[in-house]
Amino acid sequence: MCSTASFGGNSCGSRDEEMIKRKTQKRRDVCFKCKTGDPFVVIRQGDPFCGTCFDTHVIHKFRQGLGKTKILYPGDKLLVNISGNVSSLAMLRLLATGYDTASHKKITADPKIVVVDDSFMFDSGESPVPAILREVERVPDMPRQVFVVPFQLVFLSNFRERCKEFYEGNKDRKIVDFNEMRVDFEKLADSARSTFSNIETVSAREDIHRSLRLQILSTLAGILHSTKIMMSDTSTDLAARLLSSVAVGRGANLPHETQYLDNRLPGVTFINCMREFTPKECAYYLRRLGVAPITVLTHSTLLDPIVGSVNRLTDTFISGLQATFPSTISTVMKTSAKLQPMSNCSRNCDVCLLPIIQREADVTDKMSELDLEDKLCNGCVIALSECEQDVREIVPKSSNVKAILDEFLIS
Amino acid sequence: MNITIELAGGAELLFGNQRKHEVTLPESDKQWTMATLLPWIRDNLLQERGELFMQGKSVRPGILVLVNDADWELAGELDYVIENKDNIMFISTLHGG
Repeated sequence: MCSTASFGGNSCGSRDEEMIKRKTQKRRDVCFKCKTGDPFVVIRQGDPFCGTCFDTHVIHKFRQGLGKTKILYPGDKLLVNISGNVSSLAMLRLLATGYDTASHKKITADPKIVVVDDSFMFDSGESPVPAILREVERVPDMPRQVFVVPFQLVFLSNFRERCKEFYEGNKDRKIVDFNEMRVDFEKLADSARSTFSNIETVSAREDIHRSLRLQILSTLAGILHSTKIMMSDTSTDLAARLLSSVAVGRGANLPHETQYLDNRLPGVTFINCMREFTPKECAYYLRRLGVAPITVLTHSTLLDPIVGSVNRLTDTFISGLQATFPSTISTVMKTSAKLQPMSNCSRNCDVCLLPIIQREADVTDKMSELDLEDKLCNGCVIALSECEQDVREIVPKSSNVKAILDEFLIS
Repeated sequence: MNITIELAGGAELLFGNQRKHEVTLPESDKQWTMATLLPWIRDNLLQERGELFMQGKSVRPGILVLVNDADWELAGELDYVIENKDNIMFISTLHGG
């Protein structure tokens, strides 16, 4: 115990405070790394970085993640999922640094950029795709082929076959736009809108939306004979997902949902390459490069942060805690990295592609009647039980998972 | 005092979808700081859902603030004294607002 008198009236507490204050004031004037540059952004619990040191820091962190896991090999076809939000645009720019001729260790994988357009689902309806394509065009150095996939295509009964057929006929184009397929997109969009409006809660809508997006990506990966898909979820997204996954009945599959490499489907690896980044780092990196963020709407946009959806609530909770206790997200992420995927699964869910481990939720009568109970995981049963119409509209008619796996076995 | 307020990443949805606002702050006896500017923005520019912009006395966690193109944490956050022709930018990183 320290006594106030023994330090001439100054307690340890106030001396510490003074020291911290002095240290912080000193630090804020100049870059924490090079000690010369003008500070531009504060990251890592109060360390100011100048623009140049910040660029080096984020590029190093990105390359370190890929290097540690040794996931990319020369000639690999790499699907890069770009949604238009800050983290996906930052991911694209960071990946492009690996193709720079001055780069120390060049990335030699062949990038295929995928833009899934789901803007028709939301009221404002303005598609972010033209803005995303402009942004992709502006990226220097990187070889690229772009695939634009309308989200409603996933509701097509022979989705995989039709897409494959279209791709075979257009494989040499710089931009392969699946909107040019001979399909009644309006009708499919109406059907998708009505399906989603019949799902009662926003949480279930978001959950199913994300699962279908993963279906599109993995199907496309199969068609392109690509085995790696880059996702742009940040540490905040993944920390919130870790907590919300437990709440929506996906607790058994946490490692797949939150770790750097997600091997939910044998043969395909989802790479969460922005796992170590905060949204702040992504936004400031884009600011450095003069890239304007693109507004991408979601099911919970403009909804109440507390009652909007389970994911939104956990996001609010995690971000709120992080603002007061800066090590919150890194602690959650470190804990999630220690989780081991369970190995005793025989098949994958037809909707979210996660391994079916053990279903604890009561299988509803609806699922049993439709003979779906063996095809869905616990989380999807819970989400789909909120759907008022025939859930077969959402569950692929023939097992898409099997088709995707076959595709990889052939390749 | 004239300042520019910019919104991006979905924050503009709360401000009638307008990304750039050139505003004149009313003359005041006290200095304008970020602590007084934020409630002024909420009361005068924000068109809907004030709780999605502010939380307590500051912005909601997840909304980034840049003062003259640098992190507002460097400028003293709420204590920053606003000067004429300042550029204040709000970037939302919360999935479309």
